[in-house]
Amino acid sequence: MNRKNDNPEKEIEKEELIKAKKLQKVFVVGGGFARSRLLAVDDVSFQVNKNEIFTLAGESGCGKTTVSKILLGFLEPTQGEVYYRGKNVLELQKWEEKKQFMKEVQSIFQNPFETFNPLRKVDCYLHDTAKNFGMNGKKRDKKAVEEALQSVGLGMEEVQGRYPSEFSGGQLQRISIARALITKPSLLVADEPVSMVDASLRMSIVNLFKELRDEHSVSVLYITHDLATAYYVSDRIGIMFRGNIVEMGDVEEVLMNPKHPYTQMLKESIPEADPKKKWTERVSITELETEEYMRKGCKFAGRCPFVEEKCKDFMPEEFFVDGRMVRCWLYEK
Amino acid sequence: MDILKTENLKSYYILEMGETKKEVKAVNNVTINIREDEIYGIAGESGCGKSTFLKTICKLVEPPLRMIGGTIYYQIDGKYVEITETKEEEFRKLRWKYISYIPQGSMNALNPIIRIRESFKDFFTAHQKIENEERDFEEPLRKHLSALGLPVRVLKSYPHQLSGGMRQRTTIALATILKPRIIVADEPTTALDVVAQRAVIQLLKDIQKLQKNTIILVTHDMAVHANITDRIGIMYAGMFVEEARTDDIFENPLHPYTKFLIASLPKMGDKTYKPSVPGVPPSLSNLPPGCPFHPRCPYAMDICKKEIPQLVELNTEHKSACFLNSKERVE
Amino acid sequence: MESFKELMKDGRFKFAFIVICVLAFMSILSFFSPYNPLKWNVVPRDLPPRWPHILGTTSQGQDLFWQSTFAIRNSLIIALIASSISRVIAVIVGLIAGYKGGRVDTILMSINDSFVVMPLLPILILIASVMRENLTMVTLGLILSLFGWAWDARVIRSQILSLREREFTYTAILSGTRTFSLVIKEYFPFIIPIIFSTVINNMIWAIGMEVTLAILGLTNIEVPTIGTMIHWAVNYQSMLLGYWWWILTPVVISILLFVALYLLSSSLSEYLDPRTRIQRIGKAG
Repeated sequence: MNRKNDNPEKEIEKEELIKAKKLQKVFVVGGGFARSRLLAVDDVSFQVNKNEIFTLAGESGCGKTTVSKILLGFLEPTQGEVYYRGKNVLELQKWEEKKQFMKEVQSIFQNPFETFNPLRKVDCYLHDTAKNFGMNGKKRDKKAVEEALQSVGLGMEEVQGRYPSEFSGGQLQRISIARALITKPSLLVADEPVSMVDASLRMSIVNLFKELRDEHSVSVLYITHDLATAYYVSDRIGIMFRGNIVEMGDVEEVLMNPKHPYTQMLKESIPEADPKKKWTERVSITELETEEYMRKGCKFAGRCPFVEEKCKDFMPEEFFVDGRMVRCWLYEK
Repeated sequence: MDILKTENLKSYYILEMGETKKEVKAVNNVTINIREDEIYGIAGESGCGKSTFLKTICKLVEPPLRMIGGTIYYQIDGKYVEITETKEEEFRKLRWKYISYIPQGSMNALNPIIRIRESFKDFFTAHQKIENEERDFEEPLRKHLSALGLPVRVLKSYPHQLSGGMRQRTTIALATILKPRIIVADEPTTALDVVAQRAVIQLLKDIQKLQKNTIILVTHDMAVHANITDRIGIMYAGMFVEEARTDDIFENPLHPYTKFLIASLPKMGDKTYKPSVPGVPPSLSNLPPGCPFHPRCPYAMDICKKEIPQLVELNTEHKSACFLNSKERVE
Repeated sequence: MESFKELMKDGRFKFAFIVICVLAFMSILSFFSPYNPLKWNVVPRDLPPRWPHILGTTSQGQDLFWQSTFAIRNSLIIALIASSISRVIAVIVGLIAGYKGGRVDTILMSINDSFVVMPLLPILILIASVMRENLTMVTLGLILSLFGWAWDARVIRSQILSLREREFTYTAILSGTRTFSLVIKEYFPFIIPIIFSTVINNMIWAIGMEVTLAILGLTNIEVPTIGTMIHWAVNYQSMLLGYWWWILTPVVISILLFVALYLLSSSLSEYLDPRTRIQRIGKAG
């Protein structure tokens, strides 16, 4: 790894909570004689620190959900390790150890209507979580559930005895967050938490993440394709493209002053909710995107305005510039 | 002149289970005028009735959806023609040639086992006679595609060989080849990545400029509206609560719901606190009396709980359905 | 009992329920039969339907009405044994194969597929002709249950496979629920309608098998069942001789039973289908 720190002051040594190291995941597609390998996640390394909101951003299909599944232990990586508070999570064998990990690392999902079993009452999950994670005694169970609901702005009466179909997407998502908070986790993995929530309720959930970080010391790994909310809520950000993290660093810098050509293109293409800031330049896409995943060198080489011969054959390494990571041959020096 | 008008349009989903009957009032008394040569956006949350409204004006009403009341007019050759009662056989002549509907997820509607060119051909022959293939089909097709910036090799491909964005653009090309006067697009950019989204928006703009027709665009993404539409109508609980030129909606929203909506939009470079709308959207089968927004409205007055405000014009081309707004105007 | 009232609104369920009640009543009546079903010539032979022999009598001198009560009872017992045991096997196999996946799944499904492709009738004929009189009702029920689970195990397995990928499985895992309780709490509500509809289909199949084997004379034809009644009626050429009541009684009973069971199955499975259940739940909101 080439470590070139131009601004040592920016390198604040924050305490690391969870670290992914050189994760790789290969999916075998098809069977028999027509097999092909899909490299969904390739050499991904990042960390989430205490009291911070870290965003993993990228288009759908770039591998971010796969990364979150690996982190939570739902999927085994083909290569690489995940360390939580220094311990290798993938080596946990005993149920007790795995449970302890789940207590500290919880998750919420994209589709609030799928998060809960439509045939079960929603509060069942809340009580199950309280019971299973050691809030002993029925009274303490109930108290834990009530507190968690309060922290997301809901009351027990609103939730008790009702089925998922009786709630709106925004409410369900909040109940899902409440459930995750019952165990008093240190890290919340939120996979596209607001993409299926109405625009008018979206910000209430995003604001909740800020509250969790500031008032409850919960870190959030925010996974999304919406750069506007990512900018609004996160401290640091990692931009993923076709399985690689191509740029990572402080959110203000990466999004306001992007260095990687892909990030630059992304930033230009985000529509602004302001009629005065319409797109003026035209964009032309002719590349068929399925070819991009199978590329040998840099996966962005097909569309990059700064492409060189080297880019087509060799995957760029991670270079450190101005306190951030950029995976691009342009920054080799 | 207007190209499409509705008056007191009502269409509900009627769900019957055993003895209980549930009426979902998806389109609840809508009176709206859409003009020629404009891009009209319809914004609102999921489940507010936008898609149902589109289906109704395209006469794609199937049970359990039923049109309960109101009238729809199309402007054909300078005259307003009421099409509410038109039978399906008659209406079929209008579909695709006059009004074209691009549904949600339409990029997955292309026949997966035939090449794109064949899809186009099938479509064409269903609506027009092809006597000389080169003159009546091949040439207009090539011209249309190149005018829209789509590579001609798309014709030789199968749908699965194209990316989502490319498929969506092909579907749009397909829907516009007969040069319809109205193009109705339901969430054409959801599920596309940001760059593909930009290309699709660009395409729609180009088509509109070229063919000088009207595009009715439904999406919940306000940023897309900001980039392409001329006017926006905001829907809430089955009704239009505000309608104005795009600039006015963003700079001077009048209806409390729109105000909240605009205030909650995150912007790049702006980390200031963004509030969201308090409360929850109402259930369309169990609407509150009076103004549907009043339970969440911080300015709710007594009259709001009893009567439904109508859409009234307050400034030039700026309509709002709110007793507070009309009260202010009177005073 | 709200669900029951709801179900009774469905015409199919109403009809099926009434018919089954009548048939169940008849099978209970068998305990009060004045005649021993295994004895012949207890009443005058070949009498057409007329009080006191309301369904007539057979050429063996048995009262048709009281014979039918036993026949219905025995056929139902065979069907219930066969279908309930095969449900248990199907559920266990389907659950394990679906949730575990991998090697366990492959092994279980290979066994399953062998049972599916087995030519059932020849094998049953073989077993029956070897066992003859030892083929009691209970034995027949058990043998049928061994062959009746394969199809439905696959159905249950595919349901589990799809449920496993749904997000609420992950929510349950994150709530600390362990595998066994997860399967029971989360998946069973989806499996129950499958169990119900297949149990009834299985019963129809079992009764049909019994009738087939009995007509061929392979089961213990002394014991009155719907199948054996038909067997005797055919053997004594009742149609030819004009004793229509003898052949008609078991045929009509079996048709009624099949139709009622089928209607019961379709109305119940529609009622229990998760999609309609969700709609009913949302009534309050």
